[in-house]
Amino acid sequence: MSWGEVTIPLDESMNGQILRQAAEAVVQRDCKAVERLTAKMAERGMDVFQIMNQGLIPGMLAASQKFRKGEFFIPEVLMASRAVKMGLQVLRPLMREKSQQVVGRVIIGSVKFDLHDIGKNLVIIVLEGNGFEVTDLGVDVPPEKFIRAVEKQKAQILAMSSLLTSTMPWMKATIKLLRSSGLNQVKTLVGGAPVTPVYAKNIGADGYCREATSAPAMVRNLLGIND
Amino acid sequence: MHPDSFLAQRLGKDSKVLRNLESFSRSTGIPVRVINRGGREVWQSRPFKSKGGFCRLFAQEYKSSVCRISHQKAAQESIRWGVPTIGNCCSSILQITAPLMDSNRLAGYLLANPFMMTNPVELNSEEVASFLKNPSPADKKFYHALSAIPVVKEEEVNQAAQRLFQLANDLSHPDLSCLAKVREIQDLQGKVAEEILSVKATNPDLTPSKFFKLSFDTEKEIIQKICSGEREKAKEILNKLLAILLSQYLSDIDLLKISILELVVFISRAAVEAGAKVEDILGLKSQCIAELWRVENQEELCLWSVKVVDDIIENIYRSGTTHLDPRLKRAIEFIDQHYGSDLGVVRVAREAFLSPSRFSHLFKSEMGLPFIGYLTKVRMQKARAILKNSEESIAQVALEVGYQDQSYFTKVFKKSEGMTPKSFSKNFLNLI
Repeated sequence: MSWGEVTIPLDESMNGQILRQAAEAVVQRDCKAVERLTAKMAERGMDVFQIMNQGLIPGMLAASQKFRKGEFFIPEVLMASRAVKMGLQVLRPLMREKSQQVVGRVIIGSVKFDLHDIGKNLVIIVLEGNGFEVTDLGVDVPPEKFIRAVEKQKAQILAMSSLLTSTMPWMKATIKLLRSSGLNQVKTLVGGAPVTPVYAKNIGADGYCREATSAPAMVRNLLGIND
Repeated sequence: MHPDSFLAQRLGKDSKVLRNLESFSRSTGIPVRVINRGGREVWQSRPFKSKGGFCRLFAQEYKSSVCRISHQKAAQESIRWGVPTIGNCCSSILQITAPLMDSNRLAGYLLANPFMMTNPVELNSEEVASFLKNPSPADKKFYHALSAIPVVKEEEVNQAAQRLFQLANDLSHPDLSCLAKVREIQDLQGKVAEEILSVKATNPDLTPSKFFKLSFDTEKEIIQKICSGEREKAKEILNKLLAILLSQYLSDIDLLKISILELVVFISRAAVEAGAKVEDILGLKSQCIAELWRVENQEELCLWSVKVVDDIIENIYRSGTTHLDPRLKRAIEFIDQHYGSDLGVVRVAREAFLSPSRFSHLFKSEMGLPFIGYLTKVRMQKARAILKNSEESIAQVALEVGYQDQSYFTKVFKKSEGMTPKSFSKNFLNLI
């Protein structure tokens, strides 16, 4: 065994350790530690996207899992997302350096009567990190508002999330309105816990996103951009 | 009664409620206000600290309607979920809201704000900037106001929210019990969404034919639970079935109704076989079908089906005879309690007072699958639940469900679920 083979995994595991610590700090809602660890990773020259995908986002996912299991209440989730925000603030200048050009414009929002936005915010983070310009319409967005924003921003992608089965039909209504408004070139992307690929296909969505981290690849694919 | 006169009457007549509101405010440190339906403040708790007036400064900077809209949205959310809402009012400033109802109609709401969970001195420049259009670090008035905002510990916020909801309950007429059904519906929707997640995790590529097979298998599973009188388990599986049906027929409520009706017919037949009286089940059916056509949305539809299945199971219980051999019932209970230990047919047969060969024969003919197949099924069910809900290592999970050898466990799991335990838990986490 050569030295090279030993040192690379060691270095990897060091980065891996900091990533784990950062994820853990998000779960612990230790904003200061998240800020410090993110800065440390950036200093080590780690990839911005890796820091997000393997550090901050898994931390937020773990926190939301704890919420679903009843170990966390809303206050803990709010604090965990603040911790993620602290980390992102460190990364933002680096992201701007990385992607000078806007790859595409995306309009995103949670459909009408759906006020959860943890997952949607994660999608925004990873899309922005990949050079997309994202306009967040927030939560409880009626179909007309989506269409107006698409027209105004000249967006190529309309992304919608829904976390409750009862609000999913609003995605269908929005896609229908988009098509009847003659915006046929705009691609639609749907996601959210109860959304399935079959449902996405049935309502005429162009793409379905299983998890936040796969959003950039999906959007690139829809826009016909090769990696 | 006009909502405003309702509030005036409630606040005037019952000074005990006002005292309780004051004491809430003093003990939590958070100012409380009573807001009417139009967003106007009709009462506020006594200021207890040097008044910083942060909200007033903020309203000068922006429009006060920004705050009002945020409060009103939170109050509406509170009604939609039947619980108090805790959320951001503006940036890191938080609020708790609880609705005030007069005969099931919104009369106003209780608003506890502003407060923070972070010490204001720890806010970074970006957060501070979000409060002001033109931030100036020298703005003493602003920083003074910011530092006067009470800081509440994370663990106390939830408690405060529960207390505020209780106070809103006391102020409402007759009370907030009208929100109980809403909570029940949302609770069930949460469980169903969880099941959809789980179905997605185990079946990454869902085709209509796979859906069909899945619902067919799950139907068999629920019938088995109903027949063996395992009520809670039957309900759990019902949630899974609802999840499967919902993801198939979501866009068409009539199709959804028909498929759920099919399910009820199927279950009621099984109930009769399990010992329920035919006439009771028929009566139950005609009554609930009439109800079914009145159901207008899928949330109520889910609640309806849970109630119907509950009634059917209740009926089997009342009739006192489930068709399962009591010795087998005993064996099933034993398996359910001891699946984590080294469980062989000899041990379970002894528990059922049967010889191993007689037990094996009886088990297979009554349950439709051999003992070892059933045991594996139970173990896999438990393993799935552990993998979904904890971060335990695969070796630990294997041990807990009765496998000494992790690689053997992985093999069995893969055969039953179509993926390794590791990818199952990873898939599940990814889907949240």
